[in-house]
Amino acid sequence: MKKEIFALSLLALLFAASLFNIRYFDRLCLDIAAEVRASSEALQTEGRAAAQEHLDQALHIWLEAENYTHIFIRHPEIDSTADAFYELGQELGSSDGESCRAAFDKLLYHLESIRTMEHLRFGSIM
Amino acid sequence: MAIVFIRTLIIYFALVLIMRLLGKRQLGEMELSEFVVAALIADLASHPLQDIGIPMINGLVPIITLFCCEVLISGLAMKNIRLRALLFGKPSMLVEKGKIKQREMKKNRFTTDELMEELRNQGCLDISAVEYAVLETDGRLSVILYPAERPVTPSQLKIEAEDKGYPVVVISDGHVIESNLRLVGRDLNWLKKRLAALGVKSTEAVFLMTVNAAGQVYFAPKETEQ
Repeated sequence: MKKEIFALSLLALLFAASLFNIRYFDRLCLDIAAEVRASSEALQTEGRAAAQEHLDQALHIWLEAENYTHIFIRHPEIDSTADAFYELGQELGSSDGESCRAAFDKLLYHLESIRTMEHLRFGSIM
Repeated sequence: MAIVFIRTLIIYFALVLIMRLLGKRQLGEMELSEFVVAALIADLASHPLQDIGIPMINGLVPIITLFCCEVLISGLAMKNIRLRALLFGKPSMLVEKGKIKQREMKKNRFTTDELMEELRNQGCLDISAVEYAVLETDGRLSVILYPAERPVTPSQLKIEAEDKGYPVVVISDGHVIESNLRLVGRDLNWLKKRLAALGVKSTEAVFLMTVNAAGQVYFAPKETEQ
């Protein structure tokens, strides 16, 4: 009976850890996305320097969570998101508004993809 | 390369630990659910080893989940006969009172060739000597012969059979197993005397030595390298 209780507890623990993981990625991606959107708005209203500041803050949050993300996200996903960050950084420094808009959208799309990847939905389970 | 190396070590020890916790039955006679778990575990473990882009947790979590499910299901099945029958099935009588039950054979997709092969595996060449043949839930066939065909036992012959007890290994490849010596009520002094009587100077010269409760010794010296 001890073995069964241990197995049941371990299953419950794994399920709780999975829920924590979903919440963690929700919070992480929403925080980063908020900074990215703030960067996008700053580009329209305050200029490139302010936009870059918000983008740097978003990148800082992303890099701070690197240890965690490497354990739980497929590495190609991490690489794509990192690429999207650096692409946006480049666009911000050199390109016109339209290219920046596309780069913002690309980064937000990757963040949304990571955020919803672990969500418990029929579609994602199947 | 170092990542693959370390991942392989982690997966290896995790698998050994899990298979050990699942129990010895896992190694030999597997029920259906145990077979499914063993096959899945082997496959799941290989993915994070082959592709370092997959987090190792993606391999470990399903393995741990399967282990927990297997422990729970087998634990519940031990306590509930209906669940046991549902999960593992019931034994099927393929031969009953000497008659082959063809419907059962068909139901279990068991051919006559397989039946004859299984009987031969168990040293039975003549099917007319078989009273019962039962296909067990783990796929083995248990064969029970007619009483007249079964080997004669000492009790049938009214002979008193001497019980010599279970022989235990006391020296294995030169190493003395003291716990086994104590098990048969002997000690190192006894062992030294026995070895001296056998003309052996050191335990290192012994390949295998067993002793039973009656004190009977089986002795095999180490072969000298040529």
